[in-house]
Amino acid sequence: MSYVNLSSVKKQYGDKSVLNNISFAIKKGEFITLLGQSGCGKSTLLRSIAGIVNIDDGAISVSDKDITNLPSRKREIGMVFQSYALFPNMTVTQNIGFGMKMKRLRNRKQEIEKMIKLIGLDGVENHYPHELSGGQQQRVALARALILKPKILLLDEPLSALDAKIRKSLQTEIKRIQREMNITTIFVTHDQKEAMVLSDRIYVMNKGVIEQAGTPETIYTRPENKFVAGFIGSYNILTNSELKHCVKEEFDINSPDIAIRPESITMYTKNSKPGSHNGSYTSEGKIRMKTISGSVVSYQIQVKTKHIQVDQLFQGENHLNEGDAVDLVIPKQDCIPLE
Amino acid sequence: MARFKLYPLLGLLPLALLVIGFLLTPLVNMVYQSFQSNDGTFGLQQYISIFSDPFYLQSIKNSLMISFISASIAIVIAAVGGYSISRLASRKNKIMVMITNMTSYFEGIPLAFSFIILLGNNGLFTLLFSQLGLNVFQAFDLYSWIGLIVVYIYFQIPFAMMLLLPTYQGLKEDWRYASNLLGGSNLSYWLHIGLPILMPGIIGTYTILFANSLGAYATAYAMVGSTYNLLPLQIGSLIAGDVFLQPNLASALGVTLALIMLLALWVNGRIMRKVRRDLK
Amino acid sequence: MTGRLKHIAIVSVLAAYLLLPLIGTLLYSLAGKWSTTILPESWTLSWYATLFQDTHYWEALSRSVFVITFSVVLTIVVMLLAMFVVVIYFPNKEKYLKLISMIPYGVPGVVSAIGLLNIYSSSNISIIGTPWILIGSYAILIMPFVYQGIRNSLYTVNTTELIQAAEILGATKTRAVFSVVLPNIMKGVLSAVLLSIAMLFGEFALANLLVGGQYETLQIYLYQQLSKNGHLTSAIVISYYVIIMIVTGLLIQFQQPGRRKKKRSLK
Repeated sequence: MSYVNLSSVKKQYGDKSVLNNISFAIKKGEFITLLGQSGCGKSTLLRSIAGIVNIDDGAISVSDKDITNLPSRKREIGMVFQSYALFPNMTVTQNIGFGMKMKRLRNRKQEIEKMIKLIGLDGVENHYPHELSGGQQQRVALARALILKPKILLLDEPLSALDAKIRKSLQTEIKRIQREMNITTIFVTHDQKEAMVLSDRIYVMNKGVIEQAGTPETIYTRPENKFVAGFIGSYNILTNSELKHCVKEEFDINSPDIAIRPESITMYTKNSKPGSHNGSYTSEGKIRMKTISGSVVSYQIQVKTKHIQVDQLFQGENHLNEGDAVDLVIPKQDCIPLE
Repeated sequence: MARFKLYPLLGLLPLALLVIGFLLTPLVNMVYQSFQSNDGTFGLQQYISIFSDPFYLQSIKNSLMISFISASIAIVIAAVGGYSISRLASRKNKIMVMITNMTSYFEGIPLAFSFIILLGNNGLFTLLFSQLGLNVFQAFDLYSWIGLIVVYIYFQIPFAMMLLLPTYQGLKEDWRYASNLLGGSNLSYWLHIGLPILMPGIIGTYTILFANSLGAYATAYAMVGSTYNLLPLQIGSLIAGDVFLQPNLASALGVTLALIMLLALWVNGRIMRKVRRDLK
Repeated sequence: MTGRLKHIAIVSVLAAYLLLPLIGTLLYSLAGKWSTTILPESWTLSWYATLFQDTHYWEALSRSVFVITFSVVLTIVVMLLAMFVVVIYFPNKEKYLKLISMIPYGVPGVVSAIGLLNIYSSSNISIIGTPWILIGSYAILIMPFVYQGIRNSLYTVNTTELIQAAEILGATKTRAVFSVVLPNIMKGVLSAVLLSIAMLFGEFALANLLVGGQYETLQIYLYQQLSKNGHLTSAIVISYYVIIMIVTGLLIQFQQPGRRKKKRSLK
């Protein structure tokens, strides 16, 4: 049985439909991510669940209780804002304790101490928000939301203001705490790598609708449409006729567009081609540009008038140079048809 | 739903009462009264008598002149001075901001009195210069047109600088470096980057100065009483005291003054849009 | 570093010019005998002694303080209430509040006096010549500045989000306003208060036209002394300048954000 249920949620701002008939179900303890560009409706969706935004139509329920018309303060939901929204006039302890104070909960002192330990804020308990680093502020915001043991934790791009290194360590931290507390979490981000790292399931959103839902692996290896393929990773996306034109073999895919992951293509120097390739398409082209990023070497290959990206693992000195003529081998199973 | 929004509306009630009682009703009433003839009929009689009376026409002209001259001189001084202040080291800058801030409140009766002490018939400077044998103040009369302008300029300068300082703070040194690296001279930096960026602030400030001196009453009242013909002084003399003889005429003059100010603000908006297309 | 010197020279001349009226008046208020020489022939504090023994002065000052306190508190309370209602319940109607609040900015004192006299001199509410009409009109006069002060600080502390965060944590809207928003905008509100005080202490047009001698504020009292003893008047003017100095000095302290924070983190 699913824990969080959204059915046909709609929201319009003027004529613009921000959420267009959104439905989904989340299991208890799941970590899901709403992934999309800014303006796709992901934040509005999150805010609808939090009760900050009133939806025009549809229903939201948490553990079989309809919360659609409940004010935020009665929803038992925790949220971390993109700007953290820490209360500047309160210390770390006061910020974390605010929710307990509002709900008149007991054992406030011990609970706060426990939370400060769990989240690694020892030593800054009496600091004010402006005296903390970005990462620390982020932790306070997280602690403040978690201490009420909310039914769902909502995270609105919580890491976007931090630099790469702190971001990485906080990702692991969030995941750890989420697992430890087994808390149902909805995370909003525009960063697909972050979404892959953190989530059990990803919902890719675009223009107020969910384009595709699935595990990180499905989303990455089997994008269903052009938008998802374009948004995830660095897929080569070609139209049917473009690809047909490039390959030497009989071409038998019928979908209008085809996506090919750069690392699924193998590449050989001209004249070193070993034998035949059953179940693959072959093509030939010329290396136009080579870029090295860490362990991966990316080549831009010009095939006829098209550019195709090919990624290889960095292997010693044995790689090709710009201007080299190459043969390409594309396994048929890696040509992903798009709707 | 209706009940939900009704209760917060109560929070707007006090403001509504205050605004209706002391702002909107008086303003609307003034406009209404200005269209009442002396015999109680509705019409433009008051405006016709204002615009056919050389005395009132002169008061409008004088008010416009003094506003134009004092605002123009003050804006130049404040623009140069404000820039110099913004380039100072932080401690000196702080002191100067303090002085500017404080003196921008020096106006009206106290200021008029201070100027009488300085430049009046027995003023400090009047005496000083006559002792030195210089006759600069022989021809100078503080209680005249020129004296009024001197005082108006004085109270406009710090006020203008207060308004301009934030604009100057927005002027980034990096732009000057970038301009120099791209081959621009100091002059071309000011012509193409500095001034265009400052212009909206300067024009806006100028308009506020203009409006400020247009409506100024206390300073002139203390210095020249009703003897000098300015629009606010004429309005004041029509309504001061218990004898409120010509409410309709006073209202029409008030509307005229308000309209001139609105016109100035409107022109300001127009110019602003011309100068900076990148704003909004 | 000639550019630097140039700026310092300009600023020094400017500072001297701006301070001249203050210095001149101060000299005059401290001068005993001073008729033909450049500097006074003798110095005295007797003008201040006379002034501070004058009950009229204290009465005028306390009338000013009363009117100013009342009107500033009135505007602050009324405006805070309205702002919160608008920010929380009608955020897209904020422009109307702004429009109304800015009207007084374009209406000079003489002009608003006409309308007020038109209405209240003929109605049953006989408040002309009493402090109440002055309080009402002063409350309106400072409205644009109070509005801007409150609005700016609400904007800087990101009020909407703070209220949302507090609500998610279980607070009611009222509770959120009192525990989270008000403490954080206090500085902005105080700045608006000080600015209004400085403005109103110098206000003459409305005081003269609406109440005149019937309720003698500091400015009216000063005006009436203008034709009398110049030295005594200087002392009054200096006392007014001192009030302005204190108020604007405090104002600048409030407007410097970094200062207090630094102290705390040093500790």
